[in-house]
Amino acid sequence: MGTAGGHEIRRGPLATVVLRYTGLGRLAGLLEYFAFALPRTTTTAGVTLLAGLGAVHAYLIADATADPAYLIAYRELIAAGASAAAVLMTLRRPARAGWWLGSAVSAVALAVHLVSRTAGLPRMPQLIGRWDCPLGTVTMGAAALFLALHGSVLAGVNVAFPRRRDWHD
Amino acid sequence: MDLYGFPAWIRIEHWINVLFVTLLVRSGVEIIATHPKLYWHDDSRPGSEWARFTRKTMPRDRLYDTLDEEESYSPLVSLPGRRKLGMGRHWHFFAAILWVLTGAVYIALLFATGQWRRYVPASWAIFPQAWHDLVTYLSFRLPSRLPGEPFDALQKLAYALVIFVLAPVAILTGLAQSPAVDARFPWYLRLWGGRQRARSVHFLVLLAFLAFTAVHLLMIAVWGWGRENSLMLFGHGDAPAAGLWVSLVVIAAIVAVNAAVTVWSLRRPRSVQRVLGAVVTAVRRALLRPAVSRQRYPRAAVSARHRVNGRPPDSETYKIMAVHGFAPWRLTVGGLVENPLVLTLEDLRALDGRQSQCVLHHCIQGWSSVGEWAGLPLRDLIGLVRPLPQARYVCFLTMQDTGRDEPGAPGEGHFYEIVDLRLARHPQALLAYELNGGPLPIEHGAPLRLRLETQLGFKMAKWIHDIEFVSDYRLVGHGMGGWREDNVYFDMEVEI
Repeated sequence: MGTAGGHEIRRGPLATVVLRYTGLGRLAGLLEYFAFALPRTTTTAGVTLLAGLGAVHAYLIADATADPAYLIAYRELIAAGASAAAVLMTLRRPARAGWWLGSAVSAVALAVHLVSRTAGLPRMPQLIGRWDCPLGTVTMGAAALFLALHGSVLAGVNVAFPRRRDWHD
Repeated sequence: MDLYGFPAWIRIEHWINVLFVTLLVRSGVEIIATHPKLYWHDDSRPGSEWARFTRKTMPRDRLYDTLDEEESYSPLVSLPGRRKLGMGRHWHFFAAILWVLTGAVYIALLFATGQWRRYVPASWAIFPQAWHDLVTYLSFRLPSRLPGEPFDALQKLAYALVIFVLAPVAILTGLAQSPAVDARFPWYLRLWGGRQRARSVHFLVLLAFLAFTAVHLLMIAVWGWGRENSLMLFGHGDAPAAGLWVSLVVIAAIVAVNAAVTVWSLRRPRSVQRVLGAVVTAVRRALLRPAVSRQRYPRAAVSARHRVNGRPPDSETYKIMAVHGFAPWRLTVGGLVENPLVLTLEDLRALDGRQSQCVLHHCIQGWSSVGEWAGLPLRDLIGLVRPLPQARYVCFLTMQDTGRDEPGAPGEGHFYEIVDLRLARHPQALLAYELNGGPLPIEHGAPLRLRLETQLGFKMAKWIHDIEFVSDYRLVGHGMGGWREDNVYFDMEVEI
């Protein structure tokens, strides 16, 4: 059991072991001093990041029509996934699923971008080392920030719509 | 005009500014530690905060007060740390005064010498240029500097934002936290949407300053630490090696100053209280002391639950008095007066001139609440007892024995507070025996408490049983003007 801003967080045995033996426990201890009760702001921030991620990929679908079909399909999936996640996050019941879908989409987008610039993608060797693409940087930034934001929700630092803080003092 | 190099006065002000900002940020963190919660509404209703920086939760099954909510932060992030609000306030106000003076000189020189052109955009074309620069940064490349200037368009806009927006907002929202300013100019507080919104914005400005500093340092590193620091240290970029080493020495010196004042504050708090207090008090007396409260909040603004600070007297005598509606209670008024008095609660109620005032309460910790207080104007009591010419201060002695009633408090003895006669004659200086239309609750100081609407809450002694007119406050307690001044090093005059 941990706390964030005095708010109790339940942790499973695996999480407890990881926190204790990786040194992340100290970081988690520091995070316990921070807690925000801004569910709508948190969700709006998450939706904005996913919208940015989706928009970049939608733009690339329209702009880079000569790219391999699998890459176009991948961009369509990311754009659709980000849009779906953003919509789900604003609904009451599936909001949590929306956050997880958003994280999955962000993680994939981040991983694919990093792989494309390092190991390379099939039939796209020209992307290796091309870090000077602003849309790529926006993709990395939006995906990483969304993952961090979702992490802060899971850590109890933030709460997202429709949840609210139950602080009595 | 050469805008590429930096004139000596800009360089000197830059480094002085860095020092003051570090002191302001750390002492600000110390202040927020005392009530590590931020609200949007002036009632500071428990549980309604939008942010909290504490691991504490308050009990549901027993009485607690806001002193229990205080956090103790490390001296690494706060000045001086370890729950020393009095010290944090001294440093915050001292650094703020010097920072504002430095800023005023800086702005005056900027416009007197034409150097404002380096920060103030002269054309709307800077915005598309800044967008272009942003895209260039996102490409992990460096944009071109503006012709003849040391910055690119994005940097120029960022500096303009910090100098002409963030810094003034920090100062103005800081002022909005002064009970004297808010009491004298209630419209000013409304301008910010209330006391707690001003406090929240003040905090958000701090975050903006920290974010700017992080990006600023990153940009210096990216553009070339040595060359950029050579510009800011020597006025030219031709000595990057010297720029690197001298900048490290200057940063080490700033860290050393921070460490030294931290150690001084933790080891010799009384000395800090006297030295910094002298500077801060002089400025406060000149700017804020003349303020007289003109608050008249509507009844609808009264907080559903007025927060509390301090624990009631835990004595048999007090409890017996409370059970009997404070009928056995007596108020003694004496000292340097022509006509000493002993009054019961009924006597006080029977006196002409009952006054009520619906006002905003400012706690030194940062929370606020609105309440309607009623009682006898202090000036009426002063008129009845007729102070002797040598009487200059009024000492309020209470039934709270801090050692007994607040075992965690850093000090012992009966709580008292002293105010000067001029303040005691303010129109809204009140001996309150009612709150929100009912008898004064025990936790709010029953049967009698003081209200001074241009001051912070701790000056408004609760559970009063004795009022003494004295010639010099230095003869009472440890001689600092009150229990909190004696024991936790607060200022005696607290218009902010």
